[in-house]
Amino acid sequence: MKVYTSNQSTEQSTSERVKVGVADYAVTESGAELVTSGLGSCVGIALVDTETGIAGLAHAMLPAASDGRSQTDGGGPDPMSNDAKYVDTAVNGLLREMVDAGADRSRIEARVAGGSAMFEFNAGDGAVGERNVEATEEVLGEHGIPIVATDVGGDHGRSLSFDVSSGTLSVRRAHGDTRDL
Amino acid sequence: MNLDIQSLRTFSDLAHSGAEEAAGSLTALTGFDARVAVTKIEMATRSDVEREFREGDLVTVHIGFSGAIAGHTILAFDRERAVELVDALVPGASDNPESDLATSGLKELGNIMLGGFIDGWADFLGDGIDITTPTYVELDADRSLEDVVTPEGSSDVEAEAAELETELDTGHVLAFRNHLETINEEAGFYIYMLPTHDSVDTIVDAAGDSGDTIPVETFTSFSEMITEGAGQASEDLTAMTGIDTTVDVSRLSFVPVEGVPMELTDEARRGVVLEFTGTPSGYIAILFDHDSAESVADALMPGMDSDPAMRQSAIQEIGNIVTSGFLDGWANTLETTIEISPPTHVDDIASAIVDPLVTELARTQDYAFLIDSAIVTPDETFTCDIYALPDERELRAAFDQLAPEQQAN
Amino acid sequence: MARNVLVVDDSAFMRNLLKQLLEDDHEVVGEAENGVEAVEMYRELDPDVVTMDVVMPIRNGIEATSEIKSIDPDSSVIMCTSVGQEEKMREAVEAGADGYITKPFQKPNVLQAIDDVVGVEA
Repeated sequence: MKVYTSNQSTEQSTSERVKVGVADYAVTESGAELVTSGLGSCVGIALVDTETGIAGLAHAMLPAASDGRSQTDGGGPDPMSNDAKYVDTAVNGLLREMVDAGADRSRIEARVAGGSAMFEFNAGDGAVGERNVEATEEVLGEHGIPIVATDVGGDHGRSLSFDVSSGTLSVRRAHGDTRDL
Repeated sequence: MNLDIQSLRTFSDLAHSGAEEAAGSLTALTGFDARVAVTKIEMATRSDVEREFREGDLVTVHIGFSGAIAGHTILAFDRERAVELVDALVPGASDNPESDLATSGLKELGNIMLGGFIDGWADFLGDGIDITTPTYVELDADRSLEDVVTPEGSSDVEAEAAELETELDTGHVLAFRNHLETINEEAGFYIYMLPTHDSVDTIVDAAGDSGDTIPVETFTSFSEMITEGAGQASEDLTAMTGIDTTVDVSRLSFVPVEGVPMELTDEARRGVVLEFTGTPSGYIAILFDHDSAESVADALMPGMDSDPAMRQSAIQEIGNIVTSGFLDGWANTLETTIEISPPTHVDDIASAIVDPLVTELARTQDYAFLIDSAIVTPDETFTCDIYALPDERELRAAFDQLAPEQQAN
Repeated sequence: MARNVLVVDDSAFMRNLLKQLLEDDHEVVGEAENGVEAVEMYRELDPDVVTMDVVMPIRNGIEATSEIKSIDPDSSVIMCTSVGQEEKMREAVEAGADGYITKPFQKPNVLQAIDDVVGVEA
């Protein structure tokens, strides 16, 4: 007996807006608007190949996969754990998908927003936001991708909207203040 | 019924991939570009689930299942969305939304989405799960889940559903709640799965790590402790503001860490964030929408011409009181002390407020226990949302402390 | 070549959808709402191919398939269901199903399944 299933690729989205969740990234080839919301210490990384219009947006939580879950949880990274959660693996994944889609690494430019320090906790070792931004600069530097604009740090949250056709990353704060990068 | 963290993860993953399957079906059938926003496992009571349906004014399609595991699955969407869906499925049929063809379209959509949702669980268990034909239900204020869980299908499923109903009546069930959203809409679709206790055991046996289990009664006691804490916080709020308040929602859920911010709105909220340390330690956020914050400040300083700094201080104080009310009961029950940090005032995007709290937890855990409560006033003067995020391992230690006490009872 | 198809599904919506999808290439000669009707209509209409839902009231599609196969071992039955469980597919094979389509399906899937099961030649 042959089984016929329809091909349900959720990746080939044709909608005009693509929502990127927390610990998530998305790539568009169709000029869709990429949006993500609620960045606190998380960092948003917007990449675009200006010539082909192939673009991506990542919303990462922590600097590096090795910085994530500690050994106390059974040791080693969880195979179920999500690449998009960490800056290094998210950028690598995003770049890979963009290049697969036809982007040229040498033409890709980056815009970075988020990484704020909203609270000072006793338990944490602090400054996750700052370290997220540093990790972003480092991994983009390794790939030779220039950061053309940033809106990072501070003590407030941000929501992002990446208009791929113009390459503009709009950074919205609470109560409607918007800054275009 | 015992639960362990590994089983909860397995549940969460199965529910999430099942929901993705269902979202894919939805997109294929209707063209709605749906994605799974959050998958939560909740310790819920019957009234919790009923209230969610009623308050959301949700139209639902129900399917019972039996076999390898048994219980009930429900696809829920709001009324407006139901009309849009009917239009996409059967063009023109929405002119007459009560028609057989219109409801048939919705039922078949439920059938396909819920069928896809269940498949993964069957394959995981290496066994078959039978499903009933779908039932279309509009759950309004006069109906209870009892009417809904009454099945039409095979007698096997009927017996299992009766069992689930008894469990729903007598206490907590594990509910899997999947929130699907479309790109432009916050409100979307929900898939609920309510398995029987025996079915939970079946999955725990297949997935679990037998060394580290927590009796489900412990979760239930903890859930009750949270309800009591919310009750105390509500009383304290009433005492301070002079306005009657009630606890509207109080629940314990298990959710992937990144799912927590996605549970909150992208609108601005005011309130406080506090850190607590002890067994367990963690973070708590007490949030008000703009009007609620103003109402609370007014109630605290009646007739006073207060400046913004004074109003902010009032909100901070409310945060302190509510947090103490919420956590003191935990400390007493667990016979420990929980230290609470001074409150940090926040006025920001709600999801961004909890993002740093979750990020701290994400350093050591992939899944979080989320406790969320809402305290409301009957006259809708204000709503106070409380989100508590205890450290997973420390919460388990707290559970262990609860367990012997129960045996003594 | 055009085949006579019996569509079995308890959902009026789904029967409608299948009818629309098949009308250009094949002829839907009958529609049944449950397994009992399906067997009766099979005897009456002797269709070339049956599309069979699995979960239906009164009598499910697996049982109906077994019976149709015992009446006519040369019959062609394609399961057409939202249930994609491996175990259920095994049950369908045991009942004698010739193909298995999971919902939601697309037109080419259904047409291909019919061609594979009954052949394209006359």
